[in-house]
Amino acid sequence: MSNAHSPVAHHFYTVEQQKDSATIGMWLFLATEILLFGALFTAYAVYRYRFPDAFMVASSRMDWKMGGLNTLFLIISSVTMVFAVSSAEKGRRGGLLGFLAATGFFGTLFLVVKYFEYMHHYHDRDVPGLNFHWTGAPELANGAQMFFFLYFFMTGLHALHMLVGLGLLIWIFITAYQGKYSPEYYNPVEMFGLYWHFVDLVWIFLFPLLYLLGAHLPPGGGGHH
Amino acid sequence: MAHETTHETIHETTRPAGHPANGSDHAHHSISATTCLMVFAALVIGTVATVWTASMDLGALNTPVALAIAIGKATLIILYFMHVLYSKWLTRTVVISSFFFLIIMFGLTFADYFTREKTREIPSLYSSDPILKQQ
Amino acid sequence: MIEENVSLPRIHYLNSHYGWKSWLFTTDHKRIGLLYMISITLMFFLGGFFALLIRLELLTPQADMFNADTYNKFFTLHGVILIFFFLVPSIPGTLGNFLIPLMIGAKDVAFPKLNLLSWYIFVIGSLFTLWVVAVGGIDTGWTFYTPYSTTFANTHVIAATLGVFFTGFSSILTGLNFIVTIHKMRAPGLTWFRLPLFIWSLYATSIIQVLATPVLGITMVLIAVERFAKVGIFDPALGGDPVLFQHMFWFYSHPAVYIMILPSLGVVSELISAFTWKRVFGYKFVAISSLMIAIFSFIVWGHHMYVSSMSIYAGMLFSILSYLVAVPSAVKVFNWTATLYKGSVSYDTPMLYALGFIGLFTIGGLTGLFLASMGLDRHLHDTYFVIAHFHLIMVGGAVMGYFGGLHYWWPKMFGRMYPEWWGRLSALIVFVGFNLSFFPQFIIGYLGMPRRYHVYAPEFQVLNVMSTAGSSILGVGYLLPLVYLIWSLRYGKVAANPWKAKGLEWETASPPPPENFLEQPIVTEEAYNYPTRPAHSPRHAGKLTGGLAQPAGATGKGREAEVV
Repeated sequence: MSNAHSPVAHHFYTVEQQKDSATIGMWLFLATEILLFGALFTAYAVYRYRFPDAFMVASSRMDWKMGGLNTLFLIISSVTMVFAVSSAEKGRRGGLLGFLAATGFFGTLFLVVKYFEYMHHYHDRDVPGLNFHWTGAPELANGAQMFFFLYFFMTGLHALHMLVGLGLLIWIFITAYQGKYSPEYYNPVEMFGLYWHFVDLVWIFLFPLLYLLGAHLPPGGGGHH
Repeated sequence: MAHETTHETIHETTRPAGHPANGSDHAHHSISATTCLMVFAALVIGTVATVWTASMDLGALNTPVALAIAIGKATLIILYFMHVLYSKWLTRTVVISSFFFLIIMFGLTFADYFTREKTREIPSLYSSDPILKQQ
Repeated sequence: MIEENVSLPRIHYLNSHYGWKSWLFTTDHKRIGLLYMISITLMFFLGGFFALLIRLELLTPQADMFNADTYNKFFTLHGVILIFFFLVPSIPGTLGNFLIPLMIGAKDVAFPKLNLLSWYIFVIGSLFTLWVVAVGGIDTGWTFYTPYSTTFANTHVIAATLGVFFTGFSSILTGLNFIVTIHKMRAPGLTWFRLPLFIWSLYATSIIQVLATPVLGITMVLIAVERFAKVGIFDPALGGDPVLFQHMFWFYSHPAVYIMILPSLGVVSELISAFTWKRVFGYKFVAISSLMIAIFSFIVWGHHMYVSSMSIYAGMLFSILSYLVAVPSAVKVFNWTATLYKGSVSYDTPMLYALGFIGLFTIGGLTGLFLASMGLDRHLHDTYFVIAHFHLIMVGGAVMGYFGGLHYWWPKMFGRMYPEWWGRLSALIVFVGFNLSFFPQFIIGYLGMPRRYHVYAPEFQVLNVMSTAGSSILGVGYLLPLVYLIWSLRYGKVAANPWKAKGLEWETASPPPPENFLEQPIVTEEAYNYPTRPAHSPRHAGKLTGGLAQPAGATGKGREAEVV
């Protein structure tokens, strides 16, 4: 499509127009993502309204320390992403590569922690559809299963977005290494930054809504074990 | 749609309509390192505050407090990290309308759930008394 | 209406490159529009075939050809294919892709590669659906209601939901592309209130596509996961709430009705203007009403759920909100009608479709108000009255608009005219066949015949026979254009702007060059700059020189480009 020597694709007039188009296009995409996750948050709210106690008890089986650690990882990766974009804007390729690597590092740490969490839940037989087994109060069983289903579905979808993000990040890293970006043209870096921050944003809501509902309960909180 | 425009107008308009030439578009986008680190600090404090408030029993207030903090953190990210504070009105409109329609989805769905119990109180609909049911 | 001395341009988008690669890897919005046209035409006739099978079975009250299970599969496939794989992508994918850049004076849409990608995603979704057809179908109804779809149905639900998920994704990308294109790619001087109304309506459509479709997508995934993993998000036995599925489904699927009808509303605005040779009366109101319809469409979904055990209070709210949609819809109908007044109306094929559209859309909309009232809906819910109502909107409305637009822009797309006599004949056949198909259904629905049954009470037979007869006529009306439009590609009379219509898309050659315009167009007037009061309709006199003539004292110059 684009002329090999010019960063402006043939159907645009100016760099500015192309950049604006990309920004709005990206935000429209994020709007679809907001509605996508929003539908799940609505489902979450409905079932939490229906099973308030079961959600609280089931949530106390989450390890909030892991979730909190992951929250920090994502926030840090967001900050490094901001610095990556501003390095690209200033044409500092070394800075761009370094901050992208840092972003990827913390993103990967997030997924590693997530993996251990999932394994832990698997051993505790918390996974609906696979091995869910509720040993707590029987009247909470349905609500707890619903909680865990939503937990796995929402965090799973979020983790999928993280994986896609890391894939994109590798691509951005390689192209940055090849020197494709300049202060005139760094749209892909900036657009990827928006995506990455959005993934962070989702987690900021997932963390309190999934991990902390039962944090004020006494230890053991009525769950099994 | 004729091409009989005068020279002045051509000069004025040979840029895409969606693209004012004299906007403040070139104001640089990225935020300063100081601002960025301040936002970072706020986000970390917010996370700690989330955990801290969740560990207390605030009764019905636990979730509203947690959500308020989360919304605050999200707003910081959107405004600063995602540059919406420095963006054009169109971007802002997209952001606002996506949340607006999300609120519609929440609001009208819960218009149902919050009033279902009340519906069950209408005797003619749910009463086991066949005479009342007929009415 | 006959143009003299018109010849095809030497180089245009159809002959600039050859070979299958130049089509399957094209990023030209015009070619992508044609790719869409071919794919949705296939889906249209496939879905129409199932409709004929349904009508054939309903010729007699007892089961003759199919048992209940087969019948269930036929109406499900009819709905799934025609809604998700024909109506939703129909006008945006074909006419929208082809015309938006032409109408706004751009070289292409904002993201040409994304545009091609969205066609491929649509094809992937279609393949899922065709696979479902091939291996035994699906019987849940196009609405996939839970818990039947998740727990009890033993047909190919997962594949069908994934197909819908994919085509939804394609729809999102198309909408996203159009919004950015309309905002950022307009030619110099083309301000918002100079835009053709077709652009306004597609803009409104795109908003719905972008904001509503993701909810459908995730709902489809939830169904697939629930079936696959046997978890119970919508299963009442496990604490799930099937009504939540309906909320999520209709949050998309009610606005989706407007994804289907809004583009047609835009096409009809163009047709009414071109064939009365007048500016659309109340242009701004018609433009804004498209946006109002898009916004209102999001707040009315509960009117599908009055008898679903949803709260009565929510029902009342939804009922009141539903009436709001009537306002902008009526604005359009009244303004079109007012445009006809003292216009130099000509009854070419596209105009016949447009006039048919206005009548059917009005009746379809008004019967929608019956259904939006909770008390009446208790009686009419899930009867043929509902079937007739939404077919008036979707077939009498959306499909008629699509056909009208197809005929109107056919010479623009291919540089050749379809045979006008055959065109008018088929428009009349479609109108007659349509009315004979669906008006009896209002009556049998009102009398109490429920939808989705293959057997019925004998007293309904006369009306059902009428309906089946009508649908056969309708089938003929749809097959005729397939034949003569293909015929015209080779043998049609060469034409450039046979309507002498205004609008930027008619300023360039027909078919357009690959880059649309040889030089950057600069816009100084609104789209419908017709002479206010033609003494003798110049178009009929054939004296007008191209599309460039100006009415005396035409204004419109000097308006600054509005800041976006």
